[in-house]
Amino acid sequence: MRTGQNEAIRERELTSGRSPAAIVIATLVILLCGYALFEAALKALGQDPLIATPETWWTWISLLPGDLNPLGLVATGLAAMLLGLVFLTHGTRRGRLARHSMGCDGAVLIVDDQVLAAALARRARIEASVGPGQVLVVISHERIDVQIRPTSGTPIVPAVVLSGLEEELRINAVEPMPVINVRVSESGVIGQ
Amino acid sequence: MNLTPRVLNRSLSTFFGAILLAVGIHLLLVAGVPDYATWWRGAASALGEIAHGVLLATTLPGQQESWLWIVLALLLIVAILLMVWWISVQGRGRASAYVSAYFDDDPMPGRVEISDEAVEQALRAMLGRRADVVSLNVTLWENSPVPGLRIKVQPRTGVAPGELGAEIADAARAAQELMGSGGPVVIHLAGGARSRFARSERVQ
Repeated sequence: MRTGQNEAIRERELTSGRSPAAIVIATLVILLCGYALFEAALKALGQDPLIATPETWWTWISLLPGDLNPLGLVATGLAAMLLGLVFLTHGTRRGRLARHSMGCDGAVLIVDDQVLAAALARRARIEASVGPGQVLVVISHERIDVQIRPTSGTPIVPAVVLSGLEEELRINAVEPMPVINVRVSESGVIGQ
Repeated sequence: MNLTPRVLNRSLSTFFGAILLAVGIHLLLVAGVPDYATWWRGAASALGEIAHGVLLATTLPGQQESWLWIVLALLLIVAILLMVWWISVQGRGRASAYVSAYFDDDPMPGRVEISDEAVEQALRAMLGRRADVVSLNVTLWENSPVPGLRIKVQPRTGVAPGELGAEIADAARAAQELMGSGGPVVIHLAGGARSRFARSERVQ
């Protein structure tokens, strides 16, 4: 049971909870419902409408496109479609955050990609024996790109750096293991 | 870590997203396809007739308007309240006391509460002065039977995360033993402020 709970916690820590989308949608619905409520209440009390009566709104909607500017209608439609698509993808996609999980006894260990990248950059610097500023590490979900600018006259073997970085990932028990790409650039920098 | 209702967020996002998408497509079709616009006018006027009939049938004698408007207003109030509730449950689930137990001891019975601050201080004491940790902060989340510990640590650049994580996990276990309690532990090694917004991380 404990491992199942830890699995659930890990998933919660690695993915987004979609709170901002929820708050935006709820606010939009509240505004729309608030206006509709106002008009319905005025109608029920037999008072004059604020902007238009529900009947006027319905006539306007049922006679679309009416005498509206077609370009404006297309623009509104596109905007609604885009917003709908954004909400739809928020609802259906996993929403992976820029974090990785590591194996750890008795705890869930979550590491921001920034921290992991810094550790990998340090290791790559040691393996390639280059100075700071010559290694660039970019981490995106399941992929790690390492770019090294060698010191002029000192060749770098990418395989050595790669095996060093893989060992570093193994020591830190990153799960699942990302794919590493090492690139040594053509031009070097003046030695330090 | 909190108890934001993720399944609810996702299903409602999908639902309202699909509705908005449908409305957008409808507007585009109405503006661009004359046949569709003709069909829509026909369908809408038929629908309007039905609604008009219903409104006439539900108007009480001596009244000007149908009582359906009152029902509609009530339904809208319910919808607004539901949306307010939905906003209010976002990010909920923080616990304030790690241990809160009543002891019925003979001379002086009472309740013992241990706050998250106490756990944080215990952790700091156990880890000692460390050069590789910039900040450490403990929050609790509601979990039964024991609240969960979430330890957020900001390490210095280049620190090996696995080693640091294991040491903090040991310290957390010791702290839990000290408090006489258990519960799940999350250790979050966090970068600076920008990691919240960036999708991928670049470090030189």
